[in-house]
Amino acid sequence: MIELAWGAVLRMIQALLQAAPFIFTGLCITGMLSRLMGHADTKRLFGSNSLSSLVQSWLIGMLLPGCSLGVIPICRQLRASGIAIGTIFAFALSSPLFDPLSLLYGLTLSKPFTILAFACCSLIVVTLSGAIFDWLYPDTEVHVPEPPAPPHGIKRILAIAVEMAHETVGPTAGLIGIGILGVGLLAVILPTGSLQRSMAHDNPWSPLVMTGIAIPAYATPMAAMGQLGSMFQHGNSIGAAFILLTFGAGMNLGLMAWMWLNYGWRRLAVWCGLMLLVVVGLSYGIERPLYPRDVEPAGHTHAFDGYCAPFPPGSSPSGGYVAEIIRRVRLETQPHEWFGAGVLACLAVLGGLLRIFDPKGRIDAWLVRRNAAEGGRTLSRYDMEVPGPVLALVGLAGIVAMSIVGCYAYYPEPGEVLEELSVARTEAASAAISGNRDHALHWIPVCESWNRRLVVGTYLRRWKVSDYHLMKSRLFQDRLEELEHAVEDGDAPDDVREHAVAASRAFMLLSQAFRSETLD
Amino acid sequence: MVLKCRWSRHGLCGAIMLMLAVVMVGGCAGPTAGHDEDAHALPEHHPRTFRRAVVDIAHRGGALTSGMLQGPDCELERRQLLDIVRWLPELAADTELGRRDWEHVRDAADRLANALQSFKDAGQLADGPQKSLSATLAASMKTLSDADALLSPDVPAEEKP
Repeated sequence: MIELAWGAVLRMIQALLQAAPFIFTGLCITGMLSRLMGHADTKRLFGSNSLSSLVQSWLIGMLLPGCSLGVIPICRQLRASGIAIGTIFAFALSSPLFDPLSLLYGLTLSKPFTILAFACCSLIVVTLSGAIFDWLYPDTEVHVPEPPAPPHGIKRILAIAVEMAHETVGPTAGLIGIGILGVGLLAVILPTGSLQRSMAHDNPWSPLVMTGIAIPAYATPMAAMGQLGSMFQHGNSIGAAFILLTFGAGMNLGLMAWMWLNYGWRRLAVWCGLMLLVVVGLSYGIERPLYPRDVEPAGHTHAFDGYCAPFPPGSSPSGGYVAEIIRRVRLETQPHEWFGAGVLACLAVLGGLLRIFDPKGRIDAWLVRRNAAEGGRTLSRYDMEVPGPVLALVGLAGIVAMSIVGCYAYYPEPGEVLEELSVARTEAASAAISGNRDHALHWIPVCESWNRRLVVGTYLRRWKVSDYHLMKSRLFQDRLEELEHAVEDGDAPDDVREHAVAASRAFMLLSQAFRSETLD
Repeated sequence: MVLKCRWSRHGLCGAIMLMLAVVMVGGCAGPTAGHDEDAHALPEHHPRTFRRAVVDIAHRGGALTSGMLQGPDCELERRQLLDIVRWLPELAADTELGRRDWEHVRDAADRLANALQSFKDAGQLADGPQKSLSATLAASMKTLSDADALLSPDVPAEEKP
């Protein structure tokens, strides 16, 4: 039993670290909407209680990067701005599904049509369920008193930071905690590797099984897209893949708790019922038309291992659970996740200090106080007063622009990727051959990740990747998976060596193809 | 401008139910694909290498177009040959073939797969499809043999992956 508890701890830490950059982005957006945009302009931007507002919010959600935990503070702000629940959920569901990073990743996974079809289906989901819900409950717009706007200048920027700090230690943190608990709950309920064979295309229950898992699960847009890719590659259920994207990436227990707390269990039940009806209905509808015909069903996938218990029953890490958790977290956490976690920690410290030393909100009052001299000040030609909503829009556009720039950093030039891949492949192959199981099982997914980034990086710079290069990449992926199976299953050393040599050969062919053949 | 949705209760419910019914009826009856229990297990007729695949295609294609096979035997041979043809691009990618040569192989495989499909659709006993398949097979075999000739001779036909 102890391994289940430690497994849940590991999964929750991993989810929190993965979510950290998105939570930070969500807090930035919340701060800008709250302190620069204001309630009225926020409502004008998103709309409310109308069909067009659902499409507007879906579009804004598609543009802004986010995850289902990062949208929680934004949802709270949208509610405070007097926006109806259907519109809020149109944003909350679409924002975590796609962002520039994950969309690019997705477009190179399968036929682009499949990913575009998923995006269209998500629009149908939010429009249909939002329209019905707003029609059933037209009175979900609340009127929360708006705090005074901060004056122009540095105080506006400080006010955003203070708002973000308040949110970090406020109800948002509790709701995010509930969302993270869902991940721990799944790790306790689902035994290690128990989902490897449950999402087959010919299993009519696959979409329903996925529904049960995906709601408490947490996945970043990139993780969900990676899992989708694995599902396409293994010929798994397309309907289940769509549910994974919609509920796994788009929903979590924290969001549901927020709805229950603000709108009551009855409305929550109606909303969930509507969502299930539309999403599950669509997932069965797209199963046949979108299923890739050129894929051999493998009957299994490792895509969902991350939702199951990480420590098999009866197993105990040699250095103890705490050491193992630290080791895994250090190995698997990406630099941008550490950065996000660090910034969140700073905001939490600031928020905590404000709570302790400024319980009456004197700093907030100072931030909105205007100097008497300010009104009579004459502005120079280049010192213009930019209205808050304009700044907020520029800030939001900046976030979208940064996420596009981030794509180029995350998916580097093929030459650069091949160098990284060469290092990772050497580590994986030598670890496999020398029998260092844990080291090999760490580096093989690293190779898989770089392999994907090689293709996406090429696509990003040329908007096309030849079938030849795609096939070389797929071949390398297949060889890596075979090696992973051999290492996991504890095959004979000679067999493992054979698979390691095959993977190295596939890498050599891949490298040769990208270095010496035309890419587009 | 904000467009308010003003739908009647019955109209809205009807439209939703109709839409869901259409997509569910259209999609849920997917084909059942039988597959191996063992993950990544390959069927027995899966050739280990590109060179082996070229040899197999020549043999199986010859048997199929000779007219000696009839009924279920013929259909089994056709299906297995089609499988091999579909695996061809991946097997070719596992060699040192350059992009242009690989694309020739892929195009030949596509043509051969289409011909095998037409062979089934038109009926195996008909004379026309058999002639057409023979012609496509001959042309494809030339491309495949040319590609095979480019590979280093030391790659054994039965090499393990």
